[in-house]
Amino acid sequence: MKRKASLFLSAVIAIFVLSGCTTTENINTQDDRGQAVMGLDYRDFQNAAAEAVSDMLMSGAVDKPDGSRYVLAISRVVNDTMQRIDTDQLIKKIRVELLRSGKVVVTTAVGADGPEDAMSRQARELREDDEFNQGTVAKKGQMIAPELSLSGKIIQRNVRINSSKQQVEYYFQLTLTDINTGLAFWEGETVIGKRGSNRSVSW
Amino acid sequence: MKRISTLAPLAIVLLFLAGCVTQRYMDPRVQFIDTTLPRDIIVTSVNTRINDGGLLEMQLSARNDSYYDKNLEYRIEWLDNNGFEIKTITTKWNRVFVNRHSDFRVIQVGPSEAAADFRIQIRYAR
Repeated sequence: MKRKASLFLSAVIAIFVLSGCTTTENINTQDDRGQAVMGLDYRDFQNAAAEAVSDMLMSGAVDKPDGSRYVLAISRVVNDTMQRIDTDQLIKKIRVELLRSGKVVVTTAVGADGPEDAMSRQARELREDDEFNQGTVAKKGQMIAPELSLSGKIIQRNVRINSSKQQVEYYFQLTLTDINTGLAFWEGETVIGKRGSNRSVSW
Repeated sequence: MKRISTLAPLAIVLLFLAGCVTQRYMDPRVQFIDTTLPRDIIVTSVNTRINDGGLLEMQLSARNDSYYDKNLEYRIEWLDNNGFEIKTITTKWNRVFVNRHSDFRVIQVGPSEAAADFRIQIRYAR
């Protein structure tokens, strides 16, 4: 009986100790010293977006000759990796940064898969509706058509190094197209490579 | 008289040593996080220009004067006319690998026309 009680007590202590070991910590996103992972994490998107924006600003591709802002539409960004990625993780960062630069404004009324914000169109259906003050309803011919389009692709390539190691390469490819001429004003590629155990999954 | 003859070589040695101590380039915009880093990393110049789009561009030129390759990280904060920091995703720790006895450069562009100044921090890669 005494032995059973001591065993139970030891088990309880062990559970307490172990539960104390599994602590959750917040990530310092400004200076994350956590171990790299084989898949894509927020640091990779941040690096790719920062590199793309810096390169775009330095190239002069978003400098409108008259000094005003370009209107940018977000086109298709293809996820060609083995991971389930929302490409907005990359594109949103680029959009925010370009908007802050004062050189580009993004339209949400036009997109490759339809408008990002359908409200611009829906609000126009209020025309002729007596319930609404017609002076406050959006007028015809007020929307601004996009001048530039941002498209891209995220590619993943897995390379086997030996029986225990693998290399995963991610390519962030982006293109800024002048819609009027169809010419690519700017193109950029950021490569992020990771090397690790074959047991780590990158999908 | 004999004293003068013993002091003269000492004075010459002191003058020679003083000549060897070269004045290092110092820039208040460059900050080393790790105190031992300035011994090995010599900043040779910091240049700025306003590009055709009206954005401030900076270039830091430096040299790894040590016998070892170095993995470094740098971070650039952009400041407006009033000294306030401008929020940007480009303000993050970036890695740079530098071979021993080699020159390297860091080039960056300001996030907007509001960027009037910058501060660059350098540390060993974590």
